[in-house]
Amino acid sequence: MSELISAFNARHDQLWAAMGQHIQLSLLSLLIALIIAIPLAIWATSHHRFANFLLQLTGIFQTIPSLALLGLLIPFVGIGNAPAIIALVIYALLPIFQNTYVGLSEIDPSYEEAANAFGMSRLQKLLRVELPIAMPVIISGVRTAMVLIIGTATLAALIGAGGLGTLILLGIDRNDPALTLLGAIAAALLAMIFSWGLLWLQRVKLKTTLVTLGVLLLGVLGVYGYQAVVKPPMTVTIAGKLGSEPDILINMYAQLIKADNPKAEVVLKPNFGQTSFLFNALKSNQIDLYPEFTGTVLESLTKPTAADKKAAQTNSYPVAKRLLASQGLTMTPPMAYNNTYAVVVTKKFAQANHITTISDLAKVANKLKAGFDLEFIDRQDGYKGLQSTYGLSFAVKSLDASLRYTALHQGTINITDGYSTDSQIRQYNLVALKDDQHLFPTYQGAPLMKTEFADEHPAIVKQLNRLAGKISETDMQEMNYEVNVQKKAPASVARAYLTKHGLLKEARS
Amino acid sequence: MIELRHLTKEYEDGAVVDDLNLTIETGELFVLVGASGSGKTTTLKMINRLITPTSGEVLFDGKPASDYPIRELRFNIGYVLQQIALFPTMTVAQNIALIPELKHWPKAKITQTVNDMLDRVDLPHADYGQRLPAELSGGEQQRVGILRALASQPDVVLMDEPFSALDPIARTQLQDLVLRLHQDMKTTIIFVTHDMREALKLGDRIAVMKTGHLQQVGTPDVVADRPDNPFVAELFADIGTSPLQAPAAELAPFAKTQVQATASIQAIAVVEQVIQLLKVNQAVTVQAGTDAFVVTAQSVVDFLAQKSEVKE
Repeated sequence: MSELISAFNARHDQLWAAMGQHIQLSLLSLLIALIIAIPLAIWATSHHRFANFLLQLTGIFQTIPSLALLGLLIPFVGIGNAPAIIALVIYALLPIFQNTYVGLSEIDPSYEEAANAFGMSRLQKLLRVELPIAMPVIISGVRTAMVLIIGTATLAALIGAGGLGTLILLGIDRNDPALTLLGAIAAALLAMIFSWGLLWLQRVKLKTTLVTLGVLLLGVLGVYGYQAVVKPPMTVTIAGKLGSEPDILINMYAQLIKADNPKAEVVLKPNFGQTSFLFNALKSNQIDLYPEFTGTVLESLTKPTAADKKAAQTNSYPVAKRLLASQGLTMTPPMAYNNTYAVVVTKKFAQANHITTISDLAKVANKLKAGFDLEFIDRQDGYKGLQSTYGLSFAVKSLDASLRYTALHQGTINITDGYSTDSQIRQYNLVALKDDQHLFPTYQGAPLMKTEFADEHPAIVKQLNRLAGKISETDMQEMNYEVNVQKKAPASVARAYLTKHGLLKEARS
Repeated sequence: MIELRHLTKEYEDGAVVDDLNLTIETGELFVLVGASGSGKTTTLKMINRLITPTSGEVLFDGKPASDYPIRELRFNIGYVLQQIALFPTMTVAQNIALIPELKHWPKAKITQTVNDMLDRVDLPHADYGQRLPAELSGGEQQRVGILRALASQPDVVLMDEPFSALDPIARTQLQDLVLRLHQDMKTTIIFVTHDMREALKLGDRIAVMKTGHLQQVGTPDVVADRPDNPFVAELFADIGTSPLQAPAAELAPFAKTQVQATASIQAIAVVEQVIQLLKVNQAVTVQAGTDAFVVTAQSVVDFLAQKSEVKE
């Protein structure tokens, strides 16, 4: 509980912002779904054959897993709000359509007969008789849709649409249950509040209901309109993948850019999503740049030839840079650290056995109790590589990634795999052994942007280049530790590093 | 004046109404009576065009109903349903105001009319106006149903078995109400029922129908006393026009208070049976569901006295 409160205190600004995005996204989706589903259902009540077809169609929509739906939409509408809203609307259609249709069809025919006999027009009948009678059923469908939307909208964070899912994903990524809980509780509360609000709407007159919906619609559209109109002229949008490390890096980028040009408007989108989302967002100009790794470029974003792969083994950056250039993208010179697989032991164990490199492990192979993640055990550049390249062989157990550091810390195992900048290395006094035979591919981080953007903003490129060759693996471990374990804000961790190394002062002079 | 000319409605399994010819005079309370399947409701619904005739026509003042714009036609025809069908989301006052609103009456006039009408049928508007239909008894609901049909002062009101779902006491009260309102407003009323006694009580003239064919048209006396054919004769044989054959519920206006009843009888029993009980009991309870009242010999005398006045 106290962790939850401190998480709230540390991040309430972020929470309110995420909640705002969440509400905006949910309401807009709900309104669109209402505008589609209710008229369709009204129409369907006089076209029963289509009604069954539509019920089945919306039912099928409902069964598509939300992640798959988001994935399917990306090629067509990219990432960000558009696919999130489309997906949410698709989920909301069934409950609204079904309840409106059922509510209207199940009205006692004698009301219909009376209304006809009184000379009411089709519209008068609908507004004065049918909709009011069906309203409780319709509203209950809308409430179901609302709760569904608010819940599903947490997934919008995966495709860069923001919302409370950002906190949840961040919490999962940083192994910070308090943060996940904070996002989840906020989403649950939102669902409850909106559900009550809708219940209230059910009790008031139809006119009040329509007016309220109208005001909400105008409000949401107004906010979007305002955001679209009031965009400052010079904006740089920087996004980052999930996790503390990209979050720290993009804060550094922002601070470097602002140091040179205080008027520049820098928009940060931390925890924007996974690689493919960011890469697509960059290509469709939704973001201007994001930190990427050379290893990822070679593995998933480009198609290197065998010769390229060989060349990349010794120095990956030039190869990545050249392959990206042919796609109209520019990757500026990378930082010092290499965020790749690492073989990790405790400092105590390393010192006692005089081990600094992976080759040194041969001396103690019979003493090793390894716990590796399944993926690592199976990879050529994982344990298989350790066997073939280093000729090592020792007892290995498979262990879930989330457990390996604790297991190492507790002494159940004395060697495991990890990533070279993991904050746990700093936290538990561990050491990543040097990959002296270059088994692991290099993952060097650097800003990735469109060449067009780089050409237009030489000053920004110059500022970003100040990070080239900076930040060692231990620096990064330390900074990740400060954010993940000590709960410091990524912006202040970034500023501390830049100040300490004189990167901001230099810029001003 | 409403004329039905060669009015016929056929469905796949045959004619429901077959070549019906009838003339209903303006201001008349005209009753269509017959068993279920006689075609009486179908006939009624062809008048306000809820059902389209297969052939033949309905004329209003000489002009075919199909020549009127349908909404204009219906605005001038009130309608009371067996299912009552007050709109459940509207208050009593809103239900009555509905048709005047559709006709764009001024607001003040609507409020005035609604309040007057409610007061007139013993549903004080201050007490009943803002209630929802579900808060009313069946009899009260149908009273509102009748007001809804009459509020905009239509030329004609169609009533489709309006009281058949009500208990005998409420039924009697509402029959009296219809007679009173008809006398006051002189609206043409076409009333459908399967209850012969109700037909005799209400109708200025009665049309008897059987399987889509008209059997006889005439005043209650003529139909009951001089039937045209054995079918009509048999229909009215058990009833007659004697007040002694009237349902016990009709005694309600003459009920006595502060007397202890020593016997009870159902409201559907006839007055004659009540008299038999009063021979040995000083007072008798007449029961209809949860509703009940107490009558004495004096009540019966008062009732018979009033009946003989009406006849004269």
